[in-house]
Amino acid sequence: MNLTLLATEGYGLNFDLFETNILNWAVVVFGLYKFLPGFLGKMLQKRREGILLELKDAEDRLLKATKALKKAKTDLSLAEEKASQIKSDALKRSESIRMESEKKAIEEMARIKQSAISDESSEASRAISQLRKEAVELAIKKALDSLPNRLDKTTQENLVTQSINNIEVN
Amino acid sequence: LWALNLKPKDKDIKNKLSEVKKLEADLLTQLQSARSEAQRIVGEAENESDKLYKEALELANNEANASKEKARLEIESQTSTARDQLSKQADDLSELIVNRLILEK
Repeated sequence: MNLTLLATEGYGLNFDLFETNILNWAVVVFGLYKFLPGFLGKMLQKRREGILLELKDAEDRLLKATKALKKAKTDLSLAEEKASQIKSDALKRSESIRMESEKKAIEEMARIKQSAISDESSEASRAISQLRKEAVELAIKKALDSLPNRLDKTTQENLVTQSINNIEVN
Repeated sequence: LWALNLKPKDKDIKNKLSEVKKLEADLLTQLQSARSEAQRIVGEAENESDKLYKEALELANNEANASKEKARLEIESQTSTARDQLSKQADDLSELIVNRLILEK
């Protein structure tokens, strides 16, 4: 009575099982105690597995990205070396081209000079031959011109006879 | 796990992949640049060598032609001088011929 009075007059505890639904609450609490851990456990386990999977996937991607970056850096370093080698080869090749061209030019210049010298020599030889021929022709002409005046009849006959004899011997 | 920030950030992965792409692009650029540079160097050397070769040949031909012209003029001059002396030598030679013919009798 006092308790009821207390309850009606202010705050207090009501221990009436039926009024306070304690049994219902007990059933609910028991149900929760019995089934909630399993349900929540499964949900949390699922969530945990999902997070772990996602974490592993992210780590894998990071690992791949790191490896790719490392490889890219190595490739870049190799490419720089290759680029340097390409330039070096090009310089060597250009130097070789210059040397080869220079050598070829020197050889060709020497050939041209030698050809000119040969032409000049041939021209001189031709001129000398021509002069020699002209000298002989002139001398023969002069000899033929002066010969009749220097031959008497006997000498002329002897000369003719000797000439005929020479023809027969030959 | 999320609260502890254990998961690699997507931003980091993206940055790394982005850097990979940039490095690959740099690689290609460097190689292309090197090849272009090499072609330019070799091309310049070929052109320069060709030009020098032609110039050298032109110079050699000019010198050869000048030398031949000089020699031709010299030969002409000496031929002219020789022709002047030829008459006297022809006289001597004809005298020699005549004397030999007469003496052979």
